[in-house]
Amino acid sequence: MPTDQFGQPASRRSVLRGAAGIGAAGMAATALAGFAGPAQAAPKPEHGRDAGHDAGHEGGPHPVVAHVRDAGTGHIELYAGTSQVHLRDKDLAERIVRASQKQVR
Amino acid sequence: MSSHREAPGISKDPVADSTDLYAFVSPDRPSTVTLVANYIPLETPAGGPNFYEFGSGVLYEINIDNDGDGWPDVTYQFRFHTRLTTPNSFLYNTGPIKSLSDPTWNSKQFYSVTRVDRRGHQLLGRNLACPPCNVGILSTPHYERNLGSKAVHQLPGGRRVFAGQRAEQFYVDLGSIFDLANLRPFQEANLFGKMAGLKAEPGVNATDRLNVHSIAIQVPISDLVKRGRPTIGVWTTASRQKVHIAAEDGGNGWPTGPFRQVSRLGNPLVNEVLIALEDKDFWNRQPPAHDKQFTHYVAHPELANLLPVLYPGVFPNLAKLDASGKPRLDLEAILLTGIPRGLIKGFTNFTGTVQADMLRLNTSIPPTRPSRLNPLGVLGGDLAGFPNGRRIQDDVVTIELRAIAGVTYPLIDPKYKVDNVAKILTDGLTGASVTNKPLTRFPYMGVPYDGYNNPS
Repeated sequence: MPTDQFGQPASRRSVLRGAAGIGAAGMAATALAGFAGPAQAAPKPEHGRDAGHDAGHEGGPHPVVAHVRDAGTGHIELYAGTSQVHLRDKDLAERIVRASQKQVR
Repeated sequence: MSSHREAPGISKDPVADSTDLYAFVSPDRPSTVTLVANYIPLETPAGGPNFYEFGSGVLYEINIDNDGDGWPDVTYQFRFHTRLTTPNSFLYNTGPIKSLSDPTWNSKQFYSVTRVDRRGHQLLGRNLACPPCNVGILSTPHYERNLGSKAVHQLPGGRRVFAGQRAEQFYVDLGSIFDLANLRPFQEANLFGKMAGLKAEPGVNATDRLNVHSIAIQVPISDLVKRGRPTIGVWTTASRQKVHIAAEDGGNGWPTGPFRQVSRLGNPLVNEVLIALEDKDFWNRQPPAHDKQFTHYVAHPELANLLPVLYPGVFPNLAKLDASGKPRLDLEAILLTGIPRGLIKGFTNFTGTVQADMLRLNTSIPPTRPSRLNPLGVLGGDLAGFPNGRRIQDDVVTIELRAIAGVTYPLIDPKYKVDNVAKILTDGLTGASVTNKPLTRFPYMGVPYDGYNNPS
């Protein structure tokens, strides 16, 4: 059963919560069109403009963030919307790390 | 302070920094409980042009435990967003703001309220308007009549809600207390005060004429309690999403991932005064159910050891108690479990043996009439006050100072002789030290100070 940030069964707490713990390792971000918006997204105003707007708030794509916690073991955390998914994929982790080391043009 | 800027991490994130929490049976609607969670410490009323507002990326929550396990059974969630009426203006307002929908008010804030329990989420309200900050006599004329009172919203089920700027009601002599635990009325007895030749003086309220942002919700008692268990535990939390990608175009960027708790507050002054610096940020990220790991800070408070040192000869019995190494079971009861039946005649707010820092309110105790309210709460014989929940008027600094100095230890050891000064210990302030008084109606927090008349 999924657990919340305190290790309690997720059903006990808001669905807004997820697993705890974030280390320091490589991090990559990419945008996937059509990903679901934030759980509490506000309706589009009839007048005026939401302050500090960005692609996410405007109903566009939201980023998926990959956090390679340990490329050697393939531990990856994926963040998207209000979710966090843990993966163990050594090949993917190594490819992300290699991609992140390419010089940005 | 109660919990203003109390930990290194949260002191750098003011919009998520909880400052005070109140929970009391509503004096004018005794079938309801009012919960007030304050955020954003030490707002100077003239702090424009970007006046204070809630964080749009912050999930604010007021949590209620009704079965004594330190986990929330009912949670009220609040999410805010800001809307600009005139995006191409730098001004907060372009004329007098005469109503919540006035187009002269440029930067408006709105929020949603959701109730969460085991059955799921219930959206109680959305696009609810906050009032503007109290800018000044020209910008926000007749503030409370036109704006403040209009921002009280009725919700389904007999609930009502308010979120916005209010006058700080917590009073404390910060300038003295943080100067080597000096208390102006007793500073000639302070080790360093004596050396400096200081004489006794009245306290100075460092938080007077400052504002905070309040989230207040009033709900039927039946919304909160479990059958046969009238005592609830209350705490507030603020959470942010774990990842944030900064925008390159001036926008807010992309908060991503699950929310992670960054701030919490139950009883006043716990993280502020009892928890050591190295654990304060960690404490903020923990749930009350995990507070057993912090029990030693409550059982052996650093301040109780410091008082006899800083005030030589003034607290001889407290010094002996400290030296004995006995745990302060009185403080553990007050702050971590509630006070069991039999210790105070006619009173209990015990929730069980789970040690958890929560504001415990026995909802079966009726509110005290305003004319008979004692700000010393249970210590003053008024069972409707702190530590039975907390009312706006309760003098929690004096209550906790005296408790730490040993006044409540006879609850555990009736033979303990309380030091004479401990019985009168105070930072020298009372409710009279607050300029804008509490309201007699919801949301009870006073009218915010305006920038024109309170420029510094």
